[in-house]
Amino acid sequence: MSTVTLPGRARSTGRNRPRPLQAFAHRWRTKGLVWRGVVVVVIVVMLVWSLAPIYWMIATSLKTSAQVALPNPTLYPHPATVSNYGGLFSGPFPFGSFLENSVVTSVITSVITVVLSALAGYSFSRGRYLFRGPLTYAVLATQMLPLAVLLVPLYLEFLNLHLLNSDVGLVIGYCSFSLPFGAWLMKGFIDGIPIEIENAARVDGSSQFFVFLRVTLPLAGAGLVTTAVFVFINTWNNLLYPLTLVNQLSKQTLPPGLLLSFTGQFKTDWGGMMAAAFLTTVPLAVAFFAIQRFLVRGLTAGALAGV
Amino acid sequence: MASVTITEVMKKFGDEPVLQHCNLQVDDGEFVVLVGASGSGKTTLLRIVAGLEELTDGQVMIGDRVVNDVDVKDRNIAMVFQNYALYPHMNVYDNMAFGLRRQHTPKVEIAERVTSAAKILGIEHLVKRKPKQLSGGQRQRVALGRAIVRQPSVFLMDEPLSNLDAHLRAEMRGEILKLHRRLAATFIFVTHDQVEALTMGDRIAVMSDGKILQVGTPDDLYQRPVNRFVGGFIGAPAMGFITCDVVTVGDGVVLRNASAEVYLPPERAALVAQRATGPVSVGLRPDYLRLCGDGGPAGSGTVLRGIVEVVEPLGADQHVMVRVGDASLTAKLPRSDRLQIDDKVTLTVTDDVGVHVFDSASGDALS
Repeated sequence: MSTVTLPGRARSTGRNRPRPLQAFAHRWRTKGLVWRGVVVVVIVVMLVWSLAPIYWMIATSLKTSAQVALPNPTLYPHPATVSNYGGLFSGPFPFGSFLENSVVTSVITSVITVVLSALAGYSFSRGRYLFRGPLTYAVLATQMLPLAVLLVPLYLEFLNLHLLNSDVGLVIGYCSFSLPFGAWLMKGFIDGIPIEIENAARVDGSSQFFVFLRVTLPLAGAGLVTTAVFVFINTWNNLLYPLTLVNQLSKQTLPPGLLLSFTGQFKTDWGGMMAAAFLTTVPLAVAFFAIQRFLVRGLTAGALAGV
Repeated sequence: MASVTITEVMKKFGDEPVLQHCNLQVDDGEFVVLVGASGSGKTTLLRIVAGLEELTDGQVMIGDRVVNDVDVKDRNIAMVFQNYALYPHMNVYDNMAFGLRRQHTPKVEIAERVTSAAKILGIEHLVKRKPKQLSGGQRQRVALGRAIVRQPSVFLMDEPLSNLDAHLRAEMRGEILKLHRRLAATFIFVTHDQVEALTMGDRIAVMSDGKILQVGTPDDLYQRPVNRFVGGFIGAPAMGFITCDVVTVGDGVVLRNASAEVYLPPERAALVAQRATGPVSVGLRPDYLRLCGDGGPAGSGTVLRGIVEVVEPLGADQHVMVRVGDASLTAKLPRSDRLQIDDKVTLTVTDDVGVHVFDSASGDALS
């Protein structure tokens, strides 16, 4: 599970929100050449460090089996081939099923988690009931358990309920770890919304649930997006749960599907695996770039700003 | 419109009492100000009337209806919050129309009421804007507009002017008073600023430590404070206090310490002598202190000997802080009294209405 900084209660207005990019640009203009040179070198090293595996994945996916197996591998494919990509859909492994299972389970888990987390987070943040505090921390405590600890009891329950090898089972399994995380994330975002706004809506004649729907949720939009993205990424990348709870290859999601399809006792199809890995990464990257504005705002909202 | 009756209201947060035996009657159409220092319980009392806070004991009535168990949405009140609490994702029009839509008011009527309120408040050109595109004063007007469009039984205002600068605050004070006259509605207004309280309230309730200490007109509170706290809280600059013994001199009574002799009219002096059980706290209004002329104290014969500590010029007047014994008094003097720090001065009192005597231990008024 990814770790993120949960938003706190701090509030600020847009006017006093720090602008790191502007601050950096100002320092860039006022500092000397040596400082600028060091910054450039550090940035380049960090970029190479981060992007090299991605480049290697793409390069390998475009190489033939012979090029991949060279004792001194080349930096780039020569000649380049797309046969590995073609092989994904025409080969013996059900890559299309893997993709479909991943999309279905990740999207459904994200939707369920966002809806239930928003309700739970609102309750933890605004509710006035006995044992609210202990209950809130009990939910957090479930995050202290390693995912693997839940697996055996989940497996046995799913066996009895005939939920093994099913998307429903996987979604329930994913929710076991995404819901506590989402509830806490949403609690943090809702804590950051001034309660006076909700009080104003109550005085204006609204029920508590109407206030939640029409005032709190729109203001916690960044939190909803952040929760959805983190849950989607975590479930999309999850290997352990489908590997344990699903034992039919056609029912697998992408991570275990790739592992089982392209690695064998005597041979690993690195080209095919990298092509599949690249296609697996694309939806995540597209989703991430599409909503990064919300994501960044969401993560900074808790630390610095309110509404 | 409706009256508000608060009877023996108590509120505890855990074991901590924050309101104790609060009683207040706000008549229909009256403008009552709750004033007190931070933590005095005035906002909590207002929130109890609104229904945003549950009371531990007591009763709140709006009109003839006991509202203890009535949900906030059903109390037909409007509230203006300290930080405006506008809905940031809605434009000004939607902010003001929100409550009316909840009441299922027809669209045409909503448009009429919002337009009319926006006109009254001078914000008709801002109705398409979001709150973040407005200045503090404009936001304040929107918050007021949101309250008045609903035509509620009671207006509750929780320090609505505290986030405005001094100039705008004075302007908005006038706007709210005009609004009150126009609507003839019941207003309960919370503030920690006694100038706001004195200038706006038909009556003022002074609160401290969760208790309502005194309810009265601004003149009542200024001229007849029931205890030392009210005397010190109401009036600017604040009343100064010196501790004196009650000494009988011949047929009369004088309040005296090493640096001061304070004389009262015979009937008030007799009352003090009768009620005092030890040293008394003498409160002196800065507006009634003057420098003694060469001919000694005029009128009452009161003298206060001290040393000038601070001089604050204010155009035609000046506030002069004078150390008298171990106490510090502020005198509002004409600027023509040329004073320097460390000058030795003798003050007197021009009118005995500027002198109040309180019990040193309990703080209760003795005269």
